[in-house]
Amino acid sequence: MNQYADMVLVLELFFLIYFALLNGGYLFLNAVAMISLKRQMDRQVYADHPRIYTALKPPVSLLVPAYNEAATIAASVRSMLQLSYDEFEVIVINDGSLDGTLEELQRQFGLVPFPGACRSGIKTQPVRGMWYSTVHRNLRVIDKENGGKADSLNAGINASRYPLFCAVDADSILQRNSLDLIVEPFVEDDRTIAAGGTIRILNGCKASDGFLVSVGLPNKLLPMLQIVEYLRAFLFGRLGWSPLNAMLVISGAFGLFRKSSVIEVGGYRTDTVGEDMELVMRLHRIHRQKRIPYRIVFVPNPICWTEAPESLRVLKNQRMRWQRGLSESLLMNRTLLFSRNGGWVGWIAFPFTFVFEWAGVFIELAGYMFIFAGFWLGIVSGAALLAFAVVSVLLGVLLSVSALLMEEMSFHLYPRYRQLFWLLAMAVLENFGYRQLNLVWRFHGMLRWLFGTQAQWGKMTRSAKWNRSIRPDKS
Amino acid sequence: MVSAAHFDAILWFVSLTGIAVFSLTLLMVFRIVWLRFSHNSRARREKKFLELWRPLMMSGISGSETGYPPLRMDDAEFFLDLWNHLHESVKGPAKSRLNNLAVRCGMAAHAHALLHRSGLRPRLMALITLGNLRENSAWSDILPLAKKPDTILSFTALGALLRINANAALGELKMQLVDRTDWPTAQLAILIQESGAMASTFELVDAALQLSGSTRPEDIRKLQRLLRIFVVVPTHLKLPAVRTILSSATDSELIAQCLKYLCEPEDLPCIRTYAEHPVWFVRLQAAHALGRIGATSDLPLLQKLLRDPVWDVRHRSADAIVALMRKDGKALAGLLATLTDPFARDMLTMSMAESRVAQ
Amino acid sequence: MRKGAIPALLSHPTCWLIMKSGYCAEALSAMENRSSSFPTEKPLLMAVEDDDNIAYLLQFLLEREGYSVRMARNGNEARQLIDELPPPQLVILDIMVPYFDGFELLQLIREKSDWASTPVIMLTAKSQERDIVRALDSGASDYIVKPFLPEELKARVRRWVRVVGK
Repeated sequence: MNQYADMVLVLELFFLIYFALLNGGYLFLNAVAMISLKRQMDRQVYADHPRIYTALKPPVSLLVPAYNEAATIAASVRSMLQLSYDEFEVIVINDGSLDGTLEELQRQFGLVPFPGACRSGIKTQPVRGMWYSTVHRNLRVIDKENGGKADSLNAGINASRYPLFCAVDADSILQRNSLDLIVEPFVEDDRTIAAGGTIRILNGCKASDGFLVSVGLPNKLLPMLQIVEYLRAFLFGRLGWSPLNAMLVISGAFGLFRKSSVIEVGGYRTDTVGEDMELVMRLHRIHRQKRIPYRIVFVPNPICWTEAPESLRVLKNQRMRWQRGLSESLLMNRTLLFSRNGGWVGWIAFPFTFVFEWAGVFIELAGYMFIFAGFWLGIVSGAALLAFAVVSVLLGVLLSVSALLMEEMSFHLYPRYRQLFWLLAMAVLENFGYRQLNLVWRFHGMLRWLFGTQAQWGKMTRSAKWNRSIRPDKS
Repeated sequence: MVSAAHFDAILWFVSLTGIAVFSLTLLMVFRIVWLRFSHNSRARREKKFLELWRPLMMSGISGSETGYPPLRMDDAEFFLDLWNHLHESVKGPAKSRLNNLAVRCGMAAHAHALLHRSGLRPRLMALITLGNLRENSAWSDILPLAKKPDTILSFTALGALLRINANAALGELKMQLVDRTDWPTAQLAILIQESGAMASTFELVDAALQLSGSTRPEDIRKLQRLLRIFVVVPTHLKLPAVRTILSSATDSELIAQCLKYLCEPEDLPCIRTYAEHPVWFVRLQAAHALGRIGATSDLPLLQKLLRDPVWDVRHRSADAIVALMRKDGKALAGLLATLTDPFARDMLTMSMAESRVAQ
Repeated sequence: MRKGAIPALLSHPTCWLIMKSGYCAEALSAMENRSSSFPTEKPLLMAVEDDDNIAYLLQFLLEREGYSVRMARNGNEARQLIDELPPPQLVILDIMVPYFDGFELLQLIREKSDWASTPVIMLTAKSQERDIVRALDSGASDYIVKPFLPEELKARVRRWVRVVGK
């Protein structure tokens, strides 16, 4: 009996320490993020004043992979051509679409075939042809065999002209000044090799022809829950790690990279569903190993709007894929862990992500089971169970509310009191069901990854529309 | 039992944490509501301000002398925002009219006062305003700020000094321009260009010459930064210095930067020697320079570069060939026909097509 | 489209002010003088500009010069105006505006038969040689770089309106 109690005590301690470290970690990130956000906001005096567009800023290649996007591609491309930035090119990579995406582009932009000599820096699926627009001189289209998003981006990198490239999802909307803002870290510090911007949820907003007309909240529960989730992920998940140069992910929907650095490390990997996260981890790992000074940063103010899944089924698929991408990225870059020149990223961020976002799925599930089993067996008192549940919900609410506070300090995108009420309600509500559901989905994703067959997964990525790769890290 | 007492202790601890977390959350919620309230009331005040002052400022810009209502100190922030916005939109006499208006409304004095506040924001606003006002009397207050370690503060101060008196600023802050590796070079170049003090950029040239030939890594880094700012230095000032720096440069990035600025035929022999440099971006700049100022006698060299293993070098060489043979389409087509290397042929075909599109 | 002198006066930004606060009395008399010297319809201009303050400034400057100005704040509004309005005396185009940029709008204007000869001045922060060349090549009559000289803008507008008047 005593031995049994000891075991319970050890387990209990284990879960408590896990719980304390997890929340302590997030609170710490939260503090770092608050300070860095405050500083960023202070420095933005007169940021909306007219600027001189100058050739002194580095030109950017915008890479837009498109797979079966015929319905929306023209509007997206048109809005991207309107970004306020001095010199940039838009390269659409048609990844063997079956729905006439290329024909739509030809119709809308007067494409003419063009002899192309692509770099062969990164191996990709064969390129079928290169097209130039007669209407917009900075628009090109690459037509290639289907090979997935990562492969398309690699083909885009090979064809791109300029030293920086920006990976953008075809169905997302970039705020007009976002390119100008996301280039800032590259202008300020030449060690910068990658920068990520904020992703916001488009559901509930009004958009027309690839432009955002007005910001609003969705009237459905699921996307609304995701709004709070994204605020948390971007406002302190990213903003917390970024000043420590330890940010492990830049979302595939909107990120800017130094081309030479990416080619140096071999481009995007095509054998993972989390190519965006994997690339950033690999950039960290290789630069750390070779001891090349570098910076990977998050810039909160450039905003990219993207549609979030509205149905449980699609959301579940997305979360399962994220978990799989996370697992693969961690595995592929495992040597970053506690590496000699690892710094914050190798010694803190990577283990933190591994323990709390990867292994955390198992630990949290086990924790739930332990506590309920304990209660059922009479080892855990009802009062203790209640107290523990209340504290964990309260901490969850605290973290979400602090993200809302940061949003209020910075962007103030949902100005009505009613919107505030709903967001606060979500911060509470997500603790009852949504988080647990996510946990189960992620667990499911892990099982698929551990036991699923390669062939099945290969088929999945090709047939599935690359359903947004925004990935807010769990927090 | 042990575990009962133990649970009591935990319960106690957990409840305390819960209360602390809950109070913190409530505080944050209050803070959000308060921020929202003040934000909204500010927006209302700003709207009212704009209704009254926007037309006044517009007629100020167009030079009609009218009376101005007293400006409420609460509105000073809005005033400066609008005023600086308009300053960035117009130039010439309109700027001095804006300045008269600001002085008459007491904003020059207000900007001076803001400069001595403690926060970053008011000081940045003051610096931008004083810069636009060309407020000479603030010079001695601003100068120490340009030497502060904070990047944004010191850089904004530099911007203000450049606007107030560019020549004096370049002279006075010569050392900082070299040493402050945190100041972004692109913006620095924009500021200098905007100030129009091209003649005083000899200070930068002097500083670069002093660093030239040094093999210390930090000196090389500083020199690279200076060379990046050289885009705004007039050619007659920078060219001799670039040649000197290039003659003693061993760092490949430095060499590539120097090659960008060479623009006279007498530099051709020197450029040609770099066409076979082991580092690709040096070859690239050499090809680029040959395309700019080269002669048809450089074509064999460029054809060799057209077979370079690095894509970018091939691309630039193809562009250079097209540029050199621009006037003779037939000869260009002939040259294309003689190429045997498929990479070279593809690249030249693309460059030719691109130049057709560009025309 | 025809506007009488009084409503035009009322829609004038300074005049609201005059009514409200009594400042700039001379602006009022200047207006009266002008409206008496231009008893007929005011020449119509169209301008496309997305920055609030600059749009306001343009409207202010040009209306003071005695023009009637239709502002569009983005490419969509501009397209609508191009569809609806009779050809104005002159168009001022910013290049970087949402939906349809200045180059596309320019092309649209040049393709529309009755607008084809309308002078178009580009007014933009894009100051690079290649942008200027491209704009002039694709049919712009003139090019002004921001930040701009208000007097210069007014003079160029006068010049182009005169050219067309002949």
